[in-house]
Amino acid sequence: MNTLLMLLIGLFFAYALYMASINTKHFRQPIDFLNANQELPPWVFLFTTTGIIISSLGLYDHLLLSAHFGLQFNHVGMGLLILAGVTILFMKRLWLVSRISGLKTAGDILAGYYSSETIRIYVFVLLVLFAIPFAGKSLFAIGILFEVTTAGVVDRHLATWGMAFFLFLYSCIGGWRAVVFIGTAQTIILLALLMFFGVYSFAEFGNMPAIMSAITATTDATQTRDILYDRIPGVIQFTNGLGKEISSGGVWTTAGIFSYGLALTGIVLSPAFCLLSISARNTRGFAFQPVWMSGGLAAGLLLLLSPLLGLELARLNFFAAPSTSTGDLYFSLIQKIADFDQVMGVLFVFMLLVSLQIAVSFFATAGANIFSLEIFARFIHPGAPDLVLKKCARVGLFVIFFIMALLASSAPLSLMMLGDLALSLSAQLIPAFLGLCWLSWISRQGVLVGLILGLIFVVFTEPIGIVPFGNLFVELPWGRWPWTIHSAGWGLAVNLLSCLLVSSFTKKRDNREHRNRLHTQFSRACTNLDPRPNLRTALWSLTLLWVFFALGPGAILGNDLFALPILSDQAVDVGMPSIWVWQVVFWIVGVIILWWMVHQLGIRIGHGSRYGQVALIENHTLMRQGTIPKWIRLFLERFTTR
Amino acid sequence: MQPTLLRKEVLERHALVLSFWLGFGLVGLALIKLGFSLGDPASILFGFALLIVGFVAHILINRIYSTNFTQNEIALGLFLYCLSLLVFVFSSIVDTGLDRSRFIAGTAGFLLIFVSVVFFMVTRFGLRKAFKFFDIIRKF
Repeated sequence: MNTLLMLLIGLFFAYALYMASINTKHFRQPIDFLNANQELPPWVFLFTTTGIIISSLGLYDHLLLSAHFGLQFNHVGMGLLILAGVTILFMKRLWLVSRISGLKTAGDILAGYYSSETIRIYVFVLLVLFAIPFAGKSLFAIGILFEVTTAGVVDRHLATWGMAFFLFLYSCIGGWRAVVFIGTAQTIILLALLMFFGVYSFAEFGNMPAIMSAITATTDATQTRDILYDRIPGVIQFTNGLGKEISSGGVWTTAGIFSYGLALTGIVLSPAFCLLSISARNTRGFAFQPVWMSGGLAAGLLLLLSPLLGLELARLNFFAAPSTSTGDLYFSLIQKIADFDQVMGVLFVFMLLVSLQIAVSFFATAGANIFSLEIFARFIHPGAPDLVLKKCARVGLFVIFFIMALLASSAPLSLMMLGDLALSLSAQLIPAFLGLCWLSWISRQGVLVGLILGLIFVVFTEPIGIVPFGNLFVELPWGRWPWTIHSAGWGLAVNLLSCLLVSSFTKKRDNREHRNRLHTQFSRACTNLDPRPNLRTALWSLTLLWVFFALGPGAILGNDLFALPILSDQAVDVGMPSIWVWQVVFWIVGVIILWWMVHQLGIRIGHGSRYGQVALIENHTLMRQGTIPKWIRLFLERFTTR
Repeated sequence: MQPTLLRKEVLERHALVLSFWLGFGLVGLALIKLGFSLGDPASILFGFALLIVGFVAHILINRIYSTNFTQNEIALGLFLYCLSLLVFVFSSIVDTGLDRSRFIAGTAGFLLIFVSVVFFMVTRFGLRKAFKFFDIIRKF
């Protein structure tokens, strides 16, 4: 099996290098390396974003958590519908802002719109968090996967460095366009293999009654660990958090699930994802992707198939060796599949590898390119030609991959702790994007206060803040995710509240002339299909109702509604756990609402849309490009004038 | 006459075609291999069905880019089809363990691919022109 696996990986890398080299050969402009000259075809957004979303969610960890917590964790798949909603709300308008203002990155756009360097620094910190720790978590998992699959023949460190080198190689040769083109292939492979193994798992059980009895048996087994496998353990639990107090029945209450769904929106609001949206040629695919690919296909696959794969993993744990570690857990499943058929075993490992690779190459490449476009071009070497920016991006790629591999190999705990912050901190940008895209009255002061408070609450509800504070000063009475609310939920609650409060008091003081001009351009470019306000009200009411029942406190009803209907004393056998039926029903309803949202929100940008240019940056003295410091200029001249 | 694609569109089309074939081809071939190993005709047929889905996806991509299959793609497709057909025929003769159900499934699969391609050619080019593609003896 090792030989076959290496052969398949080798073939894939040959394909990746081929794609990278033909991209370099045909697209010789340096700007193509950095952001594909903002000419990416629509299908890239369609497919690559889906792969990025699944990869960032972490299929590897998702299946393990599904095995551990069962259907209560499976409910987080509904969070992808919130993510899809955020994509619909913001990405088209972000693309439009980029075309109107001529700015190429989210950091530039937000900093220019709010006239704030602090926001730029915040976005830069996010960029670094995603490029190194967040992507590094996936690289670390790749190393573990290689080690367990090859039974130690390929050491974790060797696998980590080897994979980092190959991912760096094709990213460095091909640039942004190559990375996203290869990302499309990786996504299609991932989706195809996920469907394949979902069907395989179903066939392994045989039929739904067999799955039901397996769930029942696993439920009985997990109760000894006080985890409810087939239901959500409540709306909220007022526990002190992980590490301080154990939640009864599991940590995935509706509060936990909803707040985790909010954290997932951090994927869409990350600087890298924004760069992908901005570098699209047009907005075709921006409506189809969130409704049918993220909300429909990705969420559907995870909701329907990950319980089956998780159940397989769980059965190997409870009925084989209860003390099995997570690495060995995957090894047991891989061995089981490989015993059935070698090729299938290899494909299962390949599926997990591909799901991890997407995040690594995407976020690392985006990190280097955005650094070059935004920071290097604006502050370190203003007026640098595109060729210099391309070289800077390549050097940046090397540095990012090197640090990532070093940390993944020797200090993975630091990656975990920092990487866990990335999504939560990225989700704190929701008010900023709301102000940019929809609500012009949100002020700079409001956004900044919200971001700072949100950051504090996120950090102090994650180990990165709790542990050092406890060691240095005083032990905090709460642990990770107190009250079973994810850190993103804590941050956003405080963030939104303070942003709205401060904005209401400061909106008149804010210099918003350029912002009003931008929103005027939105009105010119975006057509509203149906101007009737009643329909909009109905849409938003239905959306809130859906959120309440799908992800909010109403989801608790799903525990028993389909098994013990209201007003009936008799139990009903629907063939599936009630909560699973609830998840499927609200997934379908959610997709319909997303479709309606796309068509009713007035975000369609017609092909012949007219819009003017609005300068977001040049008006403000703070934003003007300075002259390059002499010592940096001399240092760079040594390399660029040879 | 098909409009000439810009260089970037040629590359984009090529990348998309490769992506689809990597996905569908990998799973399709895995299913076929699984079917032959385990003696499951349904898996073999599903595998061939996936290859046909890949072919349909390729046709849709051609439609989006308003172009046809390139000479290289036709040559590669023909080569792979003939090679795999030869391997199948050879193994049917040599491998005494190949039972009837697998043989029938494999044969049905190859026929299905052939019929799909011919159907596409007839609907795309018309009966006469489709026949001319095979009527190479006139050129001698």
